[in-house]
Parts: sequence; structure tokens; C-alpha cells
Amino acid sequence: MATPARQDATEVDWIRRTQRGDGEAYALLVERYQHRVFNLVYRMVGRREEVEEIAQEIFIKAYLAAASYHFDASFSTWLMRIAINHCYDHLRRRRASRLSYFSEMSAEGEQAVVGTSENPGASGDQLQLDLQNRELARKLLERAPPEDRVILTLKELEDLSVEEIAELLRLKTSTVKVRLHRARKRMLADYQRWARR
Amino acid sequence: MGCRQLRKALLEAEIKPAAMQEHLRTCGSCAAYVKQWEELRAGLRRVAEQPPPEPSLGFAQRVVRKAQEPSFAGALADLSLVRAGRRFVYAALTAALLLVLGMLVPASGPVRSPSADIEAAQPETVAAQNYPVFSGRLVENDVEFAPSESH
Repeated sequence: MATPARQDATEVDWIRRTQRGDGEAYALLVERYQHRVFNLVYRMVGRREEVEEIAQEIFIKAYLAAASYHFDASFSTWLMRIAINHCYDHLRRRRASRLSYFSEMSAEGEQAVVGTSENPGASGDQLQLDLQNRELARKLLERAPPEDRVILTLKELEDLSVEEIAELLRLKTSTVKVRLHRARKRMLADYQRWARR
Repeated sequence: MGCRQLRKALLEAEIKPAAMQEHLRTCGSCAAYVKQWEELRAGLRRVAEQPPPEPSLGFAQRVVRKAQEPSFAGALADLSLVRAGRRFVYAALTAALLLVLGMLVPASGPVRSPSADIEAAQPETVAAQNYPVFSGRLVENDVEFAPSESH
């Protein structure tokens, strides 16, 4: 078995106990990583009300697959891979069902106006512009193909480096660069179409 | 730096070298392109600033309880069986495909061994020269099979 890398002894102990079916140890792992998973899921799927359910599915998947974790990557990376794949599948299913989601985004936009209007530093016009821009960016992410959305989320929202994305997606950095370039190009073309309206 | 080169550099490197600035001074189309890209990125940054929802109280314990439900363990076992079955089907299909390819390739493939060509051509050549296909003469003239001549 490979040497556990970048993990403290406590975490290694929790993982080994989880692999033996110890639920209490797994609860500790869930508590350690739940915010990170919630954050990733929210960035990927964009719908607040879906986040907890999807995160729960991810953690259950990870628990059931715990025996297949061999410490060759950090537990965090392994878990994030499961999360990314699960979100990708979710996005594909959602895309297949072709649901529209623009109404909730508008509601969130209104909430943001209320929240930001208390900020005395910026002018109202600029706030309105920022808000419109944010909502447009959200719409475009929503419309993007799942492959594009995954890579754009990791780069533009999670602010990961190309190398980090390559490790998570198990791709070469050159492949990540090519995919990122294509995804950005497509999204910008979409932005140009929407901006003209 | 041309328009295409600039746009590629913009989406890949996210930097504005001096050459890029020089081009932007004279190309309104690319200047608009860069401006739109910056607007889009600003929008994405705004999206990234939104805080994710918090896990509800007792989330970890609920996860563990659900994961340990017999239905999930059963589902995992079913999944393993399905995967094992799928692997068997893939292996059988691959073996069948290889067998079919193995039967087809020597007869119809573009590359054949020279000996196969010679063998295929030999009966016609020999027949054209009025030689019997397996002439005893070839064997009789062979040094190894004619020890009496070598001594």
C-alpha cells in the first residue's frame, strides 16, 4: 500500500476505520470535508436547493467506495473526484431533461439587489450593471455543456490552477489547457449573443 | 500580432503583453472582444463570490445513517454484480472480435507474407511452364537429399 501523502495521522486513522465500516469515523471525515463539497457542488450545479441532496449522495458514494481508496492521492483529491463525476452526471441528466431555471436566478438577483443596496461605496448604476453581469454569467454557465461547465467552474469559480485541474480530472495539463480554451471561447461567443439582446 | 493570435492568447494566457496592447490600439474589433471577455470574467467573479449554502444540522450523521442502510449495501452489491457481468460480456465480445479478425486478416489484409504470395502464385507459374506442381526433380537435385552425389 502506498504511503499516505499530505494527510495527518488522525485522518489516516479515520479513513482506515471507515474502510472497516466504522460509521463514527466516517462522520468525522464528512464533517471535515462537508463545506468543501457543498462549495464545489454549489459552484457546479448552481441551485441552492439541490446542493444538500447532491452532497449527501456524494458522501454516500464515497463511503460505499471507501475500500477502493488506496492512499495513492490525498483523500481530499479522491473525494473531490467523486464529487466532480457525480456533479457531471447530474448536469448531464439535467441537460437531458431540458429544464429551464431562469426564474430562480431572477429571484436571487433581487435578493442580491437588496443586499448590495446597503453598500454605501458603490453607485446604484454600477451595482445594477454588476448584478446584470453576474446573472448573465450564471445563465451562461447554466447553458454551457456539462464538460465546459466542469472545467469553467474549476478554473473561473474555484480558481484552481491548470495543474490542479489536471490532477483532479486525471488529464494532461496540455489537455486541460485545450479544453479550457475551447470552453472559454464557446462561453464568450454565447456572451456576445446575449449581450447584443 | 494578428487578431486570431491575440484572441487565442487572451483566452489561454489571460495576460496583456505589450504586443497585445499595440494591436488593441489599432483594432477596434479586438478591443471590443477583450472588453467583452473582461466583462464576462467580472460576472464570473461575482458568481464565485456568492456563498454556498451551509450543511444543515446533523448532516454528517444523516449521511452515515443512510449509507449504512441495508438498501444501500444491497445496491452496492447489485452494482458490483452488474459491473462484473458487464466486464464478462465485454471480455467475451472482445475475444469474439479478435477471433473474427484473426480469421479475416491473413486472407484479406493489405499486408501478407511474401511466402504466402509465392505459394499463391506458384501453381499458376509452374503450370504455365508445364512443370508438375510437386516435381520429383526439385527433390532429386537438392544436395541434402542426394548424399550419393556429394561423395
